[in-house]
Amino acid sequence: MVGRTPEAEDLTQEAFLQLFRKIATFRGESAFSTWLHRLTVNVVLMKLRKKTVAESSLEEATEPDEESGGPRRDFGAPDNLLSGSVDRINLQRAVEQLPPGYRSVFELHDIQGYEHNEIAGIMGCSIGNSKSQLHKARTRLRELLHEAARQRAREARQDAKSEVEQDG
Amino acid sequence: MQCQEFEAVLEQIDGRPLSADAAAHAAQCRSCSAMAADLELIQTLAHELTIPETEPPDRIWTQVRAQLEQEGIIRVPATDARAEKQGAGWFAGIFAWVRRPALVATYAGLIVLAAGLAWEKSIPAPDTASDIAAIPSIHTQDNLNQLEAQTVSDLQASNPEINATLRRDLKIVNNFIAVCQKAVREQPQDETARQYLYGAYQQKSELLAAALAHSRTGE
Repeated sequence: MVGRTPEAEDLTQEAFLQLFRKIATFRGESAFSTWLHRLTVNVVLMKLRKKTVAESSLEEATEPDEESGGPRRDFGAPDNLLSGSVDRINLQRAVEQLPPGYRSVFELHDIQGYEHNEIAGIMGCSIGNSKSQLHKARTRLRELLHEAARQRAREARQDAKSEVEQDG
Repeated sequence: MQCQEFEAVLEQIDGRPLSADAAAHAAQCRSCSAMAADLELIQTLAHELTIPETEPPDRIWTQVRAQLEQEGIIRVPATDARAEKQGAGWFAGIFAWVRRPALVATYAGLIVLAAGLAWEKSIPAPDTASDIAAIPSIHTQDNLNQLEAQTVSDLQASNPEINATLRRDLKIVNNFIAVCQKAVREQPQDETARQYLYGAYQQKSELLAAALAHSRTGE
C-alpha cells in the first residue's frame, strides 16, 4: 500500500503495537485475520492521510477524490479497446499509480480474491461502497493504461521519424 | 438505458451477467461496450498478479517487544528470563553478530571496551562469554552509550533517513533502560529487575547492530 520498504517496516511495527494495545477489544464477531487486516489497513490509511495533508503537492491534489469524485468519463465517446496493448507488467505499473484507497480495494478483490462483504469488514465500509470503490479503481486503471498505450505509440512514431531522418 | 445507467449497472453486477437492458445498450453503444470489455480484461489480468510477501526484519520484533515492555503490556516471566540468559541471552546475541561481517566492528568495539575497562579496574580481561556478565552494568551502559554516539554520528553523515528512524527507536529503548536501571537501583537483589536490564541492553545492542547492517547493505 505504501510502496516503500522502510515505510512498510515502520507501519508493520505500528500495526503490531496497535494489535497488542487493542487485543482486548477483539470480540470474536469476525475472524481474527479480518480484524487484524482491518487494524493494519487503518494504520496505513491514517499514515497516508497525514502524509497527504503534510506533503500535498499540486500533482497529488489533482488525484481523483476518492470520496465523492472519481475518474471522469465522456459518455458516448467511442473508445479504443485495451485488448492487445496491455499486459500484466503494464497493469502492475498502473496499479502502483492508484490512490491508496482504490489500490487497497482493487488488490483485495481482483488480486487476492476477497469478496465485497469481507472487504467491507476489513475497510470498515458498506458493501455498496466497496463495489463503488472497486469500479472507480478499475476505471482509473483503464485511464492509466490508455495513457500509457498512447505514450508508447507516440514514442514509437518518434523513433520511426528519427530513423527516417537519419536514413535520409 | 442511458450510458450513466449502464455504468451504474457495471458497478454493481460483481461478475454476474448483464441484464437484458444493459446488454441491449452495450450492443448499440461502442463506448459502453469498449468500457465493459476493458474492465473485464483488467479483472482477468489482475487474477494473474500476485502481491509479494516479505518477512519483516528481526529488529521490528525487537522494537515491538521493547515498546510493549516499556508500556507494561507484556512482561517476561522470571523463569523465561533466566532461560534467556542461559540459552540465548546477551552472550549468544553477541556471538550471533560475528556471523554477520557488517557487525564485527560493533562486537569488537564492545569486547575491546569491556576488556579495557576491566583492566583499569584490575579485573581479569574477559576471555569467555560468561566473564562479560561479571562486568558491572554501568560499564555495559557506558560501552553502549559510546557505540550509540558513534553509530548516530556515522549514520547522520551517511544515511540520515536510517539515522532518524534509529534515533526514534533509541529513545524508546533508552527510556526502557532507564526504567530498568531505576528498578535495579531500588532493589539490587531483585533478579527479575536485573534480567529486564540485561534484556534492555541486548535490545539496544541489536538495534544499533541492525541500523549499521541496514546502512551498509541497503537491505
